[in-house]
Amino acid sequence: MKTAAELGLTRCSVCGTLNPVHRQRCSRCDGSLQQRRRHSLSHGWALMLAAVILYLPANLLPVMTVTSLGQSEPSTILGGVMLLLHEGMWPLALLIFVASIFLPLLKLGILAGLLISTQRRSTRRPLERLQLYRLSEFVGRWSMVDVFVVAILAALVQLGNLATIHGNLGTSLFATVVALTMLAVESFDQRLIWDPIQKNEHE
Amino acid sequence: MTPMQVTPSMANPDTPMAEHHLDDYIACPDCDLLHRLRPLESRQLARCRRCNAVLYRGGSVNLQHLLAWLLTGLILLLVSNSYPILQLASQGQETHATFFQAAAAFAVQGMWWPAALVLLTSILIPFYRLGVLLLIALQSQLGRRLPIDSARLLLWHDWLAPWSMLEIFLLGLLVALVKLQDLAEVSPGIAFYAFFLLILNLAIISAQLDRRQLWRMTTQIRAGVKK
Repeated sequence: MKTAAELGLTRCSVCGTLNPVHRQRCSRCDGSLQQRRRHSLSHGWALMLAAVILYLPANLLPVMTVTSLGQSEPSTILGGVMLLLHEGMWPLALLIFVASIFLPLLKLGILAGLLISTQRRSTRRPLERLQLYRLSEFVGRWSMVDVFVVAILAALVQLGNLATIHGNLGTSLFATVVALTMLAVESFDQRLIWDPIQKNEHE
Repeated sequence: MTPMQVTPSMANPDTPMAEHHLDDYIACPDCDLLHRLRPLESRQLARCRRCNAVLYRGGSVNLQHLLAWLLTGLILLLVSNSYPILQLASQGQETHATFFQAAAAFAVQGMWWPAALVLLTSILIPFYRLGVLLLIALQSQLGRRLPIDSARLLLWHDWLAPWSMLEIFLLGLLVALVKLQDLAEVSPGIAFYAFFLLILNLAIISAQLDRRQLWRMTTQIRAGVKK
């Protein structure tokens, strides 16, 4: 089994056309060619660590404040989940918990595992590692749901003295965490998982 | 969908192949394994024999169908953005929210970054991506070249794919709808229904599209080849 890289070919990441490795730009779409994404691991680490640092404040600071009849009540993500549980809306509580708290953690864990194993040129379970990568690529965006919920609530609930809702710093930080993890996944080149295996096969 | 396995076979694997043969091969996007292209029946998928990634799709895009779906999508997107998605009524007071107001709600509080993110992921990027497909399909259908760089537009279309978040916005809408049930009387507006149809429409469009075919269409437009 041969890869394109071993045969001196580069797959254009934009249109999928094969090009000889010496070409700088794709013969079909003129996109710039890179056999593997440049600085894939260092960019991945930087983006992931930035997300890790922001993860705690994003979860501890209030994401929104509900003001009703003069009383202001700030709520965090976890606080919102607890409130929903308390009101008996557990499917919704579960959804928010999974999307906002569990998935970002899962994604950070997967990313750390992929970055470490790829850096050490591990040859173990490449298919399973690729599947974890695909999982984090697929689920990552859905964490953004809470940001949309706050945006919709803040736009809609403007009832003067009766009730108003507005967003807080927690939402900005949380949106940043999700965006950073998405960028980290995008910057990781999944083909790097397979490269050490190819090398082993021929030795 | 029948997965198909293809085996690369080459006379001398250690020397780069002649450039004119390269179009007969495809490398897996997820593991770089080389495969020889084989013609597929329509609706068939070719998958990587090592990691099972989808390599390419059989059959060709029906341009007229695609154009019809894209135009429908554009209309639904315009309607979704022009009317309120949710309405709220409580003790004689009424408010409503449109897509733009959802993004603006953060901006009025000076939270520029989440405001920009909502604006981009739920309005600008979906409009851009639909617009690009429409422009490419139109040029292909008419066999005429507009004075725009279609390849560059398509490049951004692909890059921005994960950042179009309409289906996530829909989930957010449903969550907000349930959350507000106790507080006040909430009802979906016209845009809500249009938006729901739009999500279905976009799923149908993406099921028809094959990246390789899209790029072939774009290069043909660029070369000025009439179809």
